[in-house]
Amino acid sequence: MPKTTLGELEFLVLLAILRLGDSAYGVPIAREIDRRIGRDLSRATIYVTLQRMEEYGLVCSEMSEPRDAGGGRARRYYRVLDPGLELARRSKAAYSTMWEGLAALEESTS
Amino acid sequence: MNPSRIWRAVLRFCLPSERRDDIDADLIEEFQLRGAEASPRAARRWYRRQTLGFLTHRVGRVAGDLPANIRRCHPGRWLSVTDLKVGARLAARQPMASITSILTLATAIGLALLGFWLARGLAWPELPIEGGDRMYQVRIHEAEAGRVVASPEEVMMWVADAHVPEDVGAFEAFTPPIQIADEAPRPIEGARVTPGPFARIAPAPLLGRHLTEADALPGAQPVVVLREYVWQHPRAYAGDPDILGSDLSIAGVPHTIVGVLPDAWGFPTSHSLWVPLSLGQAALDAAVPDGELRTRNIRTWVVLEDPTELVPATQELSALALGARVDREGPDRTVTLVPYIEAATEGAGTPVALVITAFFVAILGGVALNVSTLVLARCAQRSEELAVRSALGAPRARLLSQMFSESFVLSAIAATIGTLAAVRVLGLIIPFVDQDMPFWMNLSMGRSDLITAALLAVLVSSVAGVLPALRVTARRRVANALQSKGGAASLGRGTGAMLSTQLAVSVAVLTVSALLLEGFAQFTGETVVTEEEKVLTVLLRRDPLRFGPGARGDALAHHQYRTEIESALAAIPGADQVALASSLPRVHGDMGPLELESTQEADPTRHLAQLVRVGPGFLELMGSTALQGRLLDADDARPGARRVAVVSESFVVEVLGGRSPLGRRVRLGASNGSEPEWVEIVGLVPDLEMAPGSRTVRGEIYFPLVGDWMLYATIRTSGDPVALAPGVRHAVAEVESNILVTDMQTLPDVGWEIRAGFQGGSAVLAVVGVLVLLLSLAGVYALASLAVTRRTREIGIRVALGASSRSVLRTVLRQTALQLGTGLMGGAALAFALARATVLLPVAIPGSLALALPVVALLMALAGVAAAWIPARRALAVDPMEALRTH
Repeated sequence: MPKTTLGELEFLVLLAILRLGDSAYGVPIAREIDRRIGRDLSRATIYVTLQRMEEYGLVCSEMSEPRDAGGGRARRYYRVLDPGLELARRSKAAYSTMWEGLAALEESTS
Repeated sequence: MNPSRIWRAVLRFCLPSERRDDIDADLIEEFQLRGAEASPRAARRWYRRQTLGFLTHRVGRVAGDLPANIRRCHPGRWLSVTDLKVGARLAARQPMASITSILTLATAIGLALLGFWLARGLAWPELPIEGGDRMYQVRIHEAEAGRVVASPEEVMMWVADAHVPEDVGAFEAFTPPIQIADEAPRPIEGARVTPGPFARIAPAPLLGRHLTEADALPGAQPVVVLREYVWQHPRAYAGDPDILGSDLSIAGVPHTIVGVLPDAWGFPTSHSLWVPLSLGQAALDAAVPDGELRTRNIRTWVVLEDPTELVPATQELSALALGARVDREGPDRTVTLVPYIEAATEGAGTPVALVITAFFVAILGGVALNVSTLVLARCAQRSEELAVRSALGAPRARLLSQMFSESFVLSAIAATIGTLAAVRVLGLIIPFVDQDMPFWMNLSMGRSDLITAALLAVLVSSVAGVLPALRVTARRRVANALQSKGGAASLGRGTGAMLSTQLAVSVAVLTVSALLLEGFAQFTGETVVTEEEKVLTVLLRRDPLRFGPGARGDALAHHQYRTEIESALAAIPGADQVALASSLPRVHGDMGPLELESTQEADPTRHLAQLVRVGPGFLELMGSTALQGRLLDADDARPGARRVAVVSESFVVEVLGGRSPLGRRVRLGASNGSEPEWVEIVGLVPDLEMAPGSRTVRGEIYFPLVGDWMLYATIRTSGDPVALAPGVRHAVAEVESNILVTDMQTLPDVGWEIRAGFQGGSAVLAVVGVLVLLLSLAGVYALASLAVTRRTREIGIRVALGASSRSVLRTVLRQTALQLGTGLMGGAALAFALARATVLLPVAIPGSLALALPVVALLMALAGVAAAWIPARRALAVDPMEALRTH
């Protein structure tokens, strides 16, 4: 069954990739999430999520050239694909729709 | 800074192969970031947590792939309190069998724990230094000569001018005679160190201060820093809090004590005092030419900022070394950086650890298999009960979990006893070896060892409990058990495979134990020296500086010193023969590369031999006689005499291929750029076993001893050699008051430390061997007789149908013989493989499997045949009708 919305982790990771632009690889993705919302997710969770989103065709990845620093290691950079963007929009809409009119939530956030 | 190798290996194991390298690289990058932002400790903790996260995912993935019925059996079901209670009750019902199993398993777990503990220290040591994983030793290799000592100029250049490494320091190990209060001088292992770099890697002093650069300046007050145990030693300072500022005589020179470092610090390996190393031009100039500094073995260490800087650092050090060279035309020299511990242990740690681990795991495996056999026999009796429970609807997993819990009771008790015993044994050993072990070896038993013990208990429970239970609860066998009216259940052909496997493991472990025992016995046996208990030996150490600058090569001073000592010792009442030498049997003295002159215009060949310099009469005192040619005499040792040598039988076999040595010429490897002289071989003598067990040395060669600052004196007497001791001290003091007289003992006691180690090893092997032998015999007997007992009904039918006893026995024994044969062949193959693996040990194990293997195989075969024969005879003696009715 095709995905209709993103899970919480997928949403967080996908937004972090979008925010980082061309420099989105494992380390800054994890740090971006931690910096913005204070969640230090385990790296296993992040990489498993990334791999799953790749399998769904939401993101793609490619290896960089080996770097001079860091022992000549290459990095795997991630990029959000169109289906990923579309699903993110749809998920936000779904959450907003569910949110609307819930007085209890409006009060607690105000 | 990098994460620990073990955790990194675990992490990589957990990662999917297609993403392994890039996720690993990301995590290392983040580890280093965290190390820089917080602390290395926090980074390591973070890395471990992440690794555990990946491990959890990996386990989850594997579990997700398992069939649902297996997934249902979560740990709670495998170890329920009720089952444990039942297990304890059953164990109490059969006390003898339970005690035997527990004690056997406890011994095996205790030994395995000691093995793992030893292997952990040897194979995965970590320097307890900030940045220890980035610390390297600098080595220089020359195209012809192999590894060579760096020149003082090179060391100076590196320490002063290298910028790529974070830090560069130098040290030189030395063993000076030190004198505390009025005690006799005694040697202590110490090191001269470059003060600044040393202080940066050493821990904070317990008392006082570190050495400083000012301490190393020419003309500075001599100072020393001590290790805690020297300070605490009751015969030294007994923990005197006012030790700072007091004087300590090192090689006759008073040094002011300025600091005390904790026992955990023994840099470079297990050293106990540190003095500043002067590397300045002034120190070098004072020693040149041909002086003290030039002949010293100063080593250099570097700390890199990042392991990735290995290549640029090596290039920089190579360039500096080239700039420091005086003889630009000499052979090519290559600089390499070797991880500090690997350089210090010559890389011997890992293979030794692997052999130790393999051996102990084999023992544990063998014992677990044997106990499993005993449990199987017990299971066979309970097969009917298990079958009924199965028929009433108990799932197989439930029965298995119960059997697991029952055997877990035994192995948990065994693991506790084994761990406590291992801790106790370590507690007895550690005080004796603590100061002599490299400082990076953590001798305490830590949490990881206890986790290992717990894992061993689970492993043993699985092998000993679940394997037999799996067999007994197989559906086909349950049905058989229900159909038969009592008696042992059919255990099928698997029993044969089990018998063969057990036999193979037992034969291999026993054979290799016997091989090692035989080898160790040769190291601990007597030497070829005649009446060695009548020979007193003593080590005489003269302050090398007393010979003056350049005096190491001053033959006249050496010769005079040697003849004075010889005359003084010969005058002692009761001394029948006196001789000096540079080494003694079993001391493992100097060895060096020898070049053999070629007779066929080809390049000369190089060999590593035990080099012994002997004074007049030494070979005669040892009881050696010339097998060919002559021995050495006093004229050979005179300065300017023709250079001659005598070689041992093994030298002739190993180096000369059995050809006559007389008239051949050899020379020592080049040193300090000077061309060594050729030496003519004039005699052949039996081996004196100067370095038993050495893998590298190929025979012994004896040169005339001119003299040296360190000499062994040997005195043969017809009376009690120990009674000569006061006379020896007096005679030596008469020659020169500052000579250090140590290691006074009779010749059989020489090298006792090494032999004590071998004897300890032999005792452990013997205990383990007897244990495995008894268990194996019992196990083989139990399995073989079980296999025959379950055929009692079949035997009854065959006898009822008119089969002769002989044909029945032949059939029964044929099957057992087949299983025994398979096991013995497998055991022989395994034993040969393990025997080959002993080349990884640091000592050469003499002997072969030729004796041990047939004896062990015969014993096992006899046990197996007896185990089949006795129940078969019993079955034949039973009335066929009775046999048919009963079974």
